[in-house]
Amino acid sequence: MRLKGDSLFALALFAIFSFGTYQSTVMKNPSGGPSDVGAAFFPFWVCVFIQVLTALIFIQSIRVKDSTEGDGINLKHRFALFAGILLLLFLYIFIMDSVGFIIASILFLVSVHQLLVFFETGRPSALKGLAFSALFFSIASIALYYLFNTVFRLALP
Amino acid sequence: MIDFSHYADALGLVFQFKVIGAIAAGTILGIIFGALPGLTAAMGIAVLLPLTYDMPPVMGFGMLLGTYCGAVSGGSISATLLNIPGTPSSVATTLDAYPMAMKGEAGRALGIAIVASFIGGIFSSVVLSLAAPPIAEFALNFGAAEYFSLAVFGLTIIASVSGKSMAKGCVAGLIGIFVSLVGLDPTTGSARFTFGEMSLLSGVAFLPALIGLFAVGQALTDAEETLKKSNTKIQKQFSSVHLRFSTVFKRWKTVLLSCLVGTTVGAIPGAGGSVASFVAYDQARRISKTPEKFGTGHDEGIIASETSNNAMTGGAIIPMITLGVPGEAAAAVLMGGLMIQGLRPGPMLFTDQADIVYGIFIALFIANIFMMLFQFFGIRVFVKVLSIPRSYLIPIILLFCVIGSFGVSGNLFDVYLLLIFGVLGYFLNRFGYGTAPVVLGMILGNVAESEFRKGMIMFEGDWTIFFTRPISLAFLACALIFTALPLYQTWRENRKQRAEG
Repeated sequence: MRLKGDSLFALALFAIFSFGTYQSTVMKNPSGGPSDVGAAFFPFWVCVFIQVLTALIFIQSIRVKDSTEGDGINLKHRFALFAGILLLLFLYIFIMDSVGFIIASILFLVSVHQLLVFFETGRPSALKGLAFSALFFSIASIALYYLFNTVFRLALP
Repeated sequence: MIDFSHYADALGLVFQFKVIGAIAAGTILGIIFGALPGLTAAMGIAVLLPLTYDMPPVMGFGMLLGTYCGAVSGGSISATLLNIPGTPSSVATTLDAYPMAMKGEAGRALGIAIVASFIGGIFSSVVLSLAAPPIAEFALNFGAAEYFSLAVFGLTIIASVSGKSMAKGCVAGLIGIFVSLVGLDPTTGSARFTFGEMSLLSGVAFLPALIGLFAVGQALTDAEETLKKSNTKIQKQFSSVHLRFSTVFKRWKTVLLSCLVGTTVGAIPGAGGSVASFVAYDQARRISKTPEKFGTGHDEGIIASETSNNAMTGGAIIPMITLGVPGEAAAAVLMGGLMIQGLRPGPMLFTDQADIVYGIFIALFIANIFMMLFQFFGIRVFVKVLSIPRSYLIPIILLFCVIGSFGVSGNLFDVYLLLIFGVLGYFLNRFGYGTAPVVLGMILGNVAESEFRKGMIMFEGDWTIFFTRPISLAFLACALIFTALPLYQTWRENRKQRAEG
């Protein structure tokens, strides 16, 4: 049986919150008084309810056609784009502390832009387009750094 | 009751150059967010939240209110020119504004939409300032039992109307409650689900979670739009836009009805702008002398939809500011805006920080005036914004999200939290769970747990107090009705389908 995205997500939630249920049974359960239900009461029941509901959703989803997979978007492209942006976000956060906000931001912005252009047009940007985006995002990064760091006094690396 | 002396104090807080400037800037950004299909009011507010962190409360919240009003109204621009609603609340606007634009009267459609939005917004600001203080005063009588039942009611109602199915809405709400339980237990100080991570001891940081769910999740969804081959063309040619006050006032019955529908629906937690505009549109058609013209580019259709969706804004703030239960997704994010300022929405806000509350009422009023003026004078600029490629917008939005999460706390852990919640938000949106119930769960989960345990300790384990105190019982009864109603409707539809099939 080939599972649909909806079913897989419900299954993933079921698995995560099964772990949550287990954790709430082994965690310390002190109470604030003789009639207090204790620290683990709410976490346990919340996880159990999520398990029950996700199990129901899973059963329903394998019986019903998944409408989200019929929106004309190639699933492989969808996954590649999603994973690509996430990877770039992760790398951006990872290098920001070492190379500084402005350089990391320019690299991140240009990379995400190029990725989106590639998926939109099916080919990478021409050199002229790449140069324009590099210039545009360099100005944007410097302007945002000035705005947030100087005007709004937010601490940036 | 309303104490007008508070307005005098509040005027001093609002009428400062910086505050007015912040409201104006928020309104302009809101119109841009509203005009661009896919970017919602909630996303706009979430992206701007970190900017308000260092601002005085009225200034910061005024900016967010400007974004809210601007976004709800700005949705009419793309609804008119692209036949794509900029925000869910302008879906009904497309029914008449786009046909009118196709007749070469896009300027007229936009002029009507701007005036209708303004009237709806001003009406709801007045209702908010008149209705909120007595409700807050009444809520001062609430004890642990009432707060617990109110939290249950809030959670039930939003779970029942959000997402594509009730079960999914409930799961999203429960995920939010689970997130609110992470960290030290407020009653006993015991650590829950922290896995040895020091940054989690004080709980999951609200701001990165909010930005992740509403902005990163939405940006990841919007990125997929680049994979679709779109043939949408912007109706750039339109006659000059005039503010059509006389046209709108001639339809005063439709205006009044839509104002009442919008504000009332807005005040019902969970309903939101799209419900408000469709209910008003339907009611306007019923009372119209020319119902057959609806859907063909009729003034009344645009007036009903745009008046009601902006009338919803003030209505949605009423339960949020008086009881701590937001009326819709954007109001939930707005509530986050109050919380990062260290303000706790609820009746005590009216007694402890009355000048700020009344300042917020005035700020909403000003935001609506700005919304009309900026749209009128800057309509051609906002239309140009529709042409900005997504490949430029999405990276900038993601950058804003990272800056917002990192800049406020200076902690990289918060940025990783942002990513986790962004991914969660993406999947919750994609599979129809919705992100609004998660935020509501995060807000009300804590209230529900702490008030339930407080009640149990105070009444020595007697759980019947939740059913014997009248207000508490009323909230629980409402919760039961709002849970049973959708279930009954589904059952009835299934039975009808079976009978037909």
